[in-house]
Amino acid sequence: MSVPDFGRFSDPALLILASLAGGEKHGYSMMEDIEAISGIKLGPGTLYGALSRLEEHGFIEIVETTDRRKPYKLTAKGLTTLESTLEKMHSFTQTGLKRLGDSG
Amino acid sequence: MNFWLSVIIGLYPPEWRERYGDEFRAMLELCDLSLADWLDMSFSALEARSGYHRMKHMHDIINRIAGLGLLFSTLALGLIIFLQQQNIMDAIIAIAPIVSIIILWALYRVTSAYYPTMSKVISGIGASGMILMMIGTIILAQGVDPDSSFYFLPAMGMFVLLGIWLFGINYMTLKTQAIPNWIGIIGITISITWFSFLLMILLQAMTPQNLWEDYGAIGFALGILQGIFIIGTPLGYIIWSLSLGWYFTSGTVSRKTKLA
Repeated sequence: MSVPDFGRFSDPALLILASLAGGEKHGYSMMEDIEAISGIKLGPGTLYGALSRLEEHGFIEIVETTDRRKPYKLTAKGLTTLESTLEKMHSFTQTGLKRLGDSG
Repeated sequence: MNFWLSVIIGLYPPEWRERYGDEFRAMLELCDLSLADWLDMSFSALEARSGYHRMKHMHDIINRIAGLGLLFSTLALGLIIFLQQQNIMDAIIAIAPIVSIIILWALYRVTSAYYPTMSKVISGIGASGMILMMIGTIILAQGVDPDSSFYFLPAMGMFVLLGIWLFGINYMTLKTQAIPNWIGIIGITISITWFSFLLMILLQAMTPQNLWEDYGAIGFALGILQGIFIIGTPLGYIIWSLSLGWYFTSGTVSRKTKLA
């Protein structure tokens, strides 16, 4: 299972899933965390565009709170999808690095 | 600043604002917004207007069609039981598998977010049962004796597979919160009585004696149980499918799964 094609929101969606793997977060915390772990600063529109798509597809869910800032967490489906996607990326990265090593 | 935040949030579609507007504003109040961020939000708002609502609308329509299908198939079941007219029965039997597959798909969509693997397995079992249902319909249409093993075996297979599906899918709906728990509990109960009834049919088929008459008090108790299953299973199914059909048709499932 992998993250569906969300168009320009596909990469931000993966970054959000990776950020939520570290625990539940609200929008602002996610933006800060994503910038810290990847160096990418997501715009607020992009963040919520990806967030709404992930929620629609059942990858993340809201944590009920009375606070205006709503934290989100991964669902079981989101966790499985993230693991599967990262494993594929890991395999791809290792192959690429090995080929670079072989040619160097 | 507040004015401009209201303007930018106002660019998003009403459904989006209702769901995300407040938390989006709360986040923006913490941000030091650059020109790129304002452009990003404007562009995202236009995208939300063009795609977001349409996609939700499609999901909602599919849910409502599934609900109508379930209501229709339940009423059709009533017609089969009470009218006993061959032409109506034939028409209903022909469309029942199609209606069942719509229901199967709608329930799969509701449960897959919570149980991604199990919902696939259970829905696969249900789909196999429905394929057997179609095969049974074709066999009957060829004029095969319903008491022959040629028909009996696929029919038993269909009942077992559909029973497993009924149990599994109802068990999973208990966690979704999209469908009230009492509907799931009724569904699980029907699947248990369903299997008990199948077990009794098998017992009867495998026992040379007349089970109810030749086994005294135990046979009498089994006879009463069978009577309860015969009345309780279809009655429970009618309550289950009418309630579920109503929840899908009225849009409650779409709202609870945040699809509409």
